[in-house]
Amino acid sequence: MVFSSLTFLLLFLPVSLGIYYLVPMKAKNAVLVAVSLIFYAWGEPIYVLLMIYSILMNYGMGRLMEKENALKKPILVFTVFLNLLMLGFFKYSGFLVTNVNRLLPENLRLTVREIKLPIGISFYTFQALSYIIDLYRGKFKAQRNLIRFAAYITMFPQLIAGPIVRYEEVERQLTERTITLERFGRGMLRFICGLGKKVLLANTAGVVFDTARGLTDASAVGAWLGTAGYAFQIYFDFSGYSDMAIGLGQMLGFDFAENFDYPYISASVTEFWRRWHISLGTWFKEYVYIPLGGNRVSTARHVLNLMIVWLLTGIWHGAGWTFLLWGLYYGILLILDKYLFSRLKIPRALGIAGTMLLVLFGWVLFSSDGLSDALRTYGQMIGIGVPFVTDGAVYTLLRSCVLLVIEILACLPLMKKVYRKITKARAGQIVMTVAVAAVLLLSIVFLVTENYNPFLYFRF
Amino acid sequence: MKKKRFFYRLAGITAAVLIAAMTLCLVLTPEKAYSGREKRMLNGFPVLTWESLKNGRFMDQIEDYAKDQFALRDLAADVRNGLKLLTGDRESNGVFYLKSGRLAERFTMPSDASIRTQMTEIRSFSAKNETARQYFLLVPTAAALYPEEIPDFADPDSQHVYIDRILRELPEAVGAVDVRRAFTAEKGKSELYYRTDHHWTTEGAKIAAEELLKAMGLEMADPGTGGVVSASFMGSLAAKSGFRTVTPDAVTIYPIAPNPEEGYYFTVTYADEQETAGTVYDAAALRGDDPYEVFFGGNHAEIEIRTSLETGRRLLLIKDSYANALIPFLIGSFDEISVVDPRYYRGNLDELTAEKGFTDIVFLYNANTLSEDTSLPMVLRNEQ
Repeated sequence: MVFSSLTFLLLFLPVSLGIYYLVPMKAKNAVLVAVSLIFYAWGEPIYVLLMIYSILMNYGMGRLMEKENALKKPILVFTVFLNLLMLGFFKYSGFLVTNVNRLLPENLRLTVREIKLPIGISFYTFQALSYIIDLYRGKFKAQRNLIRFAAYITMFPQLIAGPIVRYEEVERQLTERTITLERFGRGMLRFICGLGKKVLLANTAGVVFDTARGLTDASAVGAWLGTAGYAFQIYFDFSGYSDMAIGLGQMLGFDFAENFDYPYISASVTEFWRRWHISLGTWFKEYVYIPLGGNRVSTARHVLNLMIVWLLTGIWHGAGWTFLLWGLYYGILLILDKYLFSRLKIPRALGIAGTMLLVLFGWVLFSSDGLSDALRTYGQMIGIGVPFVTDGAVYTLLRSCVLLVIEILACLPLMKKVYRKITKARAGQIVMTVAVAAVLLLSIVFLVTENYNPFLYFRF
Repeated sequence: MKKKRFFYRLAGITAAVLIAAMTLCLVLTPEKAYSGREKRMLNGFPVLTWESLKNGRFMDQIEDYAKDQFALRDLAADVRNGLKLLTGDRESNGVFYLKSGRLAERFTMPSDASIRTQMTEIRSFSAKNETARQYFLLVPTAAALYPEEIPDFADPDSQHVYIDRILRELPEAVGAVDVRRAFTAEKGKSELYYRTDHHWTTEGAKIAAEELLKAMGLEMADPGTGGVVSASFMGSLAAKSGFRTVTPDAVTIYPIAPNPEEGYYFTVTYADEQETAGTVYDAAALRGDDPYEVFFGGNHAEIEIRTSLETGRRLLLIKDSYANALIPFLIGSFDEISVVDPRYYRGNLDELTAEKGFTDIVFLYNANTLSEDTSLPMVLRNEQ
């Protein structure tokens, strides 16, 4: 199930929240697990069993680790291995086999049936890994209550698309949390903000991207317009989804950490990755970068550590060479940033412009169907083989200029400042409530009339 | 923080009330089966089966059900399209909302390959039938009559370029009939195209019929006086684009009744349906969604019109749906008219031409349909 759907907004959410609020505190986790399983099964009627297996396996291994202290390390290795095996099989086997086949002669080639990627497997597997690794590190005691553990893995706000919530962040909240009308309202505000971003800004930016990329009269302006459209789409799509997840969490009594912090105003690539998909960056830092030694090693080893982390980050996003290259791209940029750019005094404005360009170039890799597709777009962007501008590009730009201006504004922290200022006074609060209600209704209008509602991070 | 508490509570309650209201609206209002506005059946609550649950289809159907049964669905579409126009975007789903308050479909230049294929088949068909007089009437659509209203940079002239090219590339034996000048002359005076539909009006069809008959060396028989049979026609372009604030159209027809005084009568035979009628008009269509189907009840693979005239001329008309409104004006000038629609025709054209001995062959297409058509070449070379 997707948050931005009528099924979720008008059927699932009212009923689930209604039951959740009515039952006593003790039963809330069980209700949460039940509705979350339905939520997941709605999109994956068969693979829900796989997730249930993952829950039972990690729960069991966690308790075993606590019981058999001497065998802590082998149990950790084994559990990590099982988790990665599951993720690797469902996500990467197709990619591996295709590429191995390229090296083998015709008669030895393997055939692999198309395996559908279970939704959210990258997210819940990483959450399970955070649990078992931190348990090994002694950060907390094993969760003895299966329902509570299941609630951690399955809770529907962050199940499908994050943020990646590490167990230690919510451990206490699993056992005790408060639910008030005020928290509900805060959560609703955040949720509607995310809904608006997704339905009104991301989907519409996606149309600009599709139109610009689909122009038969390609041009440099058209290529840049398409890339900008994609940059907006992926930001509003993903950060909108995170907003919805955080808002829903609040409605359930949970506090999740922020996942996005206005990434497009970053003045360096390093800053960008502190503002974009924060929970993923944190996860890789905690469980890969620091165990490898982080930056407390020789320069050569530091560079290697960064490259490993970034190649893995890239491939986490998708089983394809473009994703690997995208990770490599950022790995190199971050190394350059660390050892070169940060030592130069670059004025902030220049830094922002430069970072934005680098990020846009990165998105081309992300949004392309393959390496040759990406190279073609790069070529167009620098004007190779195409005119600077064509009628099609101008027309697309004119049609979407109002939307693009709104989207640029929505990327700036300015909007949050304005929001804070307005809601200081009672009158402003009422105005804002009306505005939020309008966003909710308009989002529903768009959903009812929508033929196009993709979710980009669904392949993760 | 205390101040904010009021805000959070207010916002929370407002949102909860709105969502609850919409949910009740969805669940409690009776199910609608059909949308006249969108001209399609609406999804009802899906049937629950083990299979559909396992493969996820049931879940998709629930979403379709929710979208379709949302009580204010039509209002939602109006809001969305109103917003679109407000941001300066006058195109929706390939349809432009022109400033003069009419809808026009976008024209896209087809590939060279498809044009060549069509021309090749037209050429060989023409050579096979050189005993007959041959003509090609390529009709512009509304977008070509109002290029000054098409948004800048949306390729306003491409249709003219296309029509010029097709008429130029036709084989010598096929006479090009170009109605653009006649249409432009008539432009301010009467409506040649429907505002809400992709077809031409009966007036537009009449003018084109006059041009065609002139080229064929014939005169139009008096069709009588036109009368309005439907005044609330909301056509295909309104449905396709969702732009509904356009003034509805009026559909006019001319009597063309068999005239005992003048001494001629005619019959209309629908080959596939094996029915014969004494009129070209289908009154039942006027009560449905698409009043344009008053002409022959819509499209048929093959129609045979026989008159009691003895002009010595027998016509083969290969056409798309644009011809339907024009055919009535031709009846008084021929002994026989065979109308073939290549999209549905499964017969053999060579056999038909051998059997009937046509004296005249006319191709009648509008620029949009011809540019997208793939059936014509197949039928011309007798491939189904």
